[in-house]
Amino acid sequence: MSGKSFSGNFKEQKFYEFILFVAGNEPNSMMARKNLKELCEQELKGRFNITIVDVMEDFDSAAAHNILLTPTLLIQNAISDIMVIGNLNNREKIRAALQLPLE
Amino acid sequence: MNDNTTDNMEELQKRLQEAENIVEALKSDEVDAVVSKSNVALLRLRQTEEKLRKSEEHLRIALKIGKVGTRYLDVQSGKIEMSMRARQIYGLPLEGEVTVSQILHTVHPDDRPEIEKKWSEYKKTAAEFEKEYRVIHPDGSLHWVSIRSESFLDAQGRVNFNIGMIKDITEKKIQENQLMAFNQTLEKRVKQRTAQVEAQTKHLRALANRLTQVQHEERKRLSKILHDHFQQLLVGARFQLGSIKRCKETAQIQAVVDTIEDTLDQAIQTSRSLALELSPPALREGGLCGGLQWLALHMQQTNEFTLHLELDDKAEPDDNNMSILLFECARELILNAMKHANVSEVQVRLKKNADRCIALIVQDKGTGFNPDILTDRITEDATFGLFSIQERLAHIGGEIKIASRPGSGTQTMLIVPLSSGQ
Repeated sequence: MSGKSFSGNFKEQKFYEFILFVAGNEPNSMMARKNLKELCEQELKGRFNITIVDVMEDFDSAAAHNILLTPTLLIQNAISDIMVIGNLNNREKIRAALQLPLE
Repeated sequence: MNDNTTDNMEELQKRLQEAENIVEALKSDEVDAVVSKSNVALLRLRQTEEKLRKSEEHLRIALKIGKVGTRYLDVQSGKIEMSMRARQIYGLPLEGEVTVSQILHTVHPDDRPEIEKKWSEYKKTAAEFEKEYRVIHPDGSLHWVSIRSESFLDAQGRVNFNIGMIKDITEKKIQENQLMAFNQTLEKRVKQRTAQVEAQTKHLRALANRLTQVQHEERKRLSKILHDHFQQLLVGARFQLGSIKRCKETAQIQAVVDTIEDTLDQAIQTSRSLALELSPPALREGGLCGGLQWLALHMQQTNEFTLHLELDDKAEPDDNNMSILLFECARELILNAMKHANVSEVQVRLKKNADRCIALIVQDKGTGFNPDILTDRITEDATFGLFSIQERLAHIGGEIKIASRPGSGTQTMLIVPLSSGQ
C-alpha cells in the first residue's frame, strides 16, 4: 500500500489507509467520523481509504489492534502503525501524525 | 549497550508514550468508551456529570448576569441557605448561618408584617409568592428588593422546601420614582399653563368687549363736543350772518361782524384743543418727556389738577410707539387718580433702571384701593383701565406694579424695556 511511487510530487502521491474505531453513535465517535471525513476530503483528495470499526459490534477487531479507547484513529504504515486517540477536533495533531506540511 | 537493549528501550519508551497518550485522552473530554479485554464500557456517566457541571455553571453565570441571589429554606429543619449575592442584597453577613429573624430584621418596619406572615405560610402552602419590598442595610441605607419564591412538596404532599429568587431593584425604583415625579411636575405645569391660557383668553375677551365700548363712548364724547360746542358756535355764526341782512346801519353791521369773528375764533380754538387732546403735538415733537410736560400744563389749565414731574431725559424711549403707549398709560393713571382717588395732585416720575428698563411711576396720596380687585373685577370702569394697561405692557415685555391700600394712596409703576425691540 504505502511506499508505492507515483509520478509527480512524492508527498502528494502518498496514499493513506485509515481505520477509525468508534463506539456506536456516542458523541465523540460521531465527531471523530465527521472530522476525519472533512480532513480527507479537503487535504487528501482521492488518496485515502477509511475503514470504520464499531467496537460495540466488532469487539475482536478492536482487541486485535490493541485499541483501549474510542474514538481511536489508526494510521496504517509499512513500518509501524500510528494511533491518534480522541475526537480529532485538533486538526494540527492529525496533520503532524500524517506528516503533512505545516499550514 | 547492545542492540537488544536499545530495541527494548525504544519499545519501552514507545509503550510509555502510548500510555501517556491514553491517560491524557482519558483526562480530556474527547473519548467516549473504554475497550477492555472482555467488553466495552461507555463513558456516559462522566459526560452526564460534565453536562451537570456545565449546566450548574451556566445557571451560576445567569444568576450573576441577572444580579439574582437565591435563598433555600428547608421547611422541616428550618435551615436556610443563601447565596453570596442574596446576602449582599439583604446586607447580611457574607459567612455563617442565616436565621429567619435575621432576614426579617432587615425588612423595613412598614413592610415587615406582610413578609413575616409570608414566612409562616411557607410551611403550609406551596403557593407562589411575588413581592417588592424595602430592606435596610446595617449602614442605614435603604434598598428595594424583589422576591419570587415557591414551595415544593414531598411525596406525601407536605411542603419540603422553599426556594426564593432575590433581586436588588433599588436603581429601578429610583428611576420609577424620578419618572413619576417628573410626570407629576409635567402634569402640574400643563394644568398651570392651561389655567393661565384660560385666564388670558377670558381677559382678552373682556378687553375686546370693553374696547368696543370705549370706542363707542369716545365717539359719543367727540360727537357731544362737536354737537354741544363746535356745532353750536357754527350755528351761532350762521345765525349772526343772517342778522346782518336786518341791519341798516354800518355800525350795527360792524358790531355783528365782530361777534361773528369772535364766534369763529372760538370755533377754531375748540377744534384746535380737540386735535391737541386727541394727539398732542408735544408728544410727537418732544417725545415722552415733552408730552408729559404738555399734559401737566393742560391738566392744570383745564382741570386745575397739578402734576409734579420728575423726568430723566436718559429714560426717554428710543421708540416713538413706546412713547405714545407710556403717555397713554400715564394719562389713564392720572385720570384714574383724578376720578377715584379724591386728590388734586399726583407725582409723575420717569427714570431709567440699571437693567436697560424704563420705569414710569404715578403716585398719589388719595383714598387707595385693594389691588386684588384687579384680577376679580376687571370689567368695571375703575379697574378696566389698569387691566388694559397691564395687557398692553405684557404685549411688549413690560409689567405693571401696583402698591395701594385703602386710605394710604396708590403708587403705580410701569416697567418696560428701553426700546420695544428688546
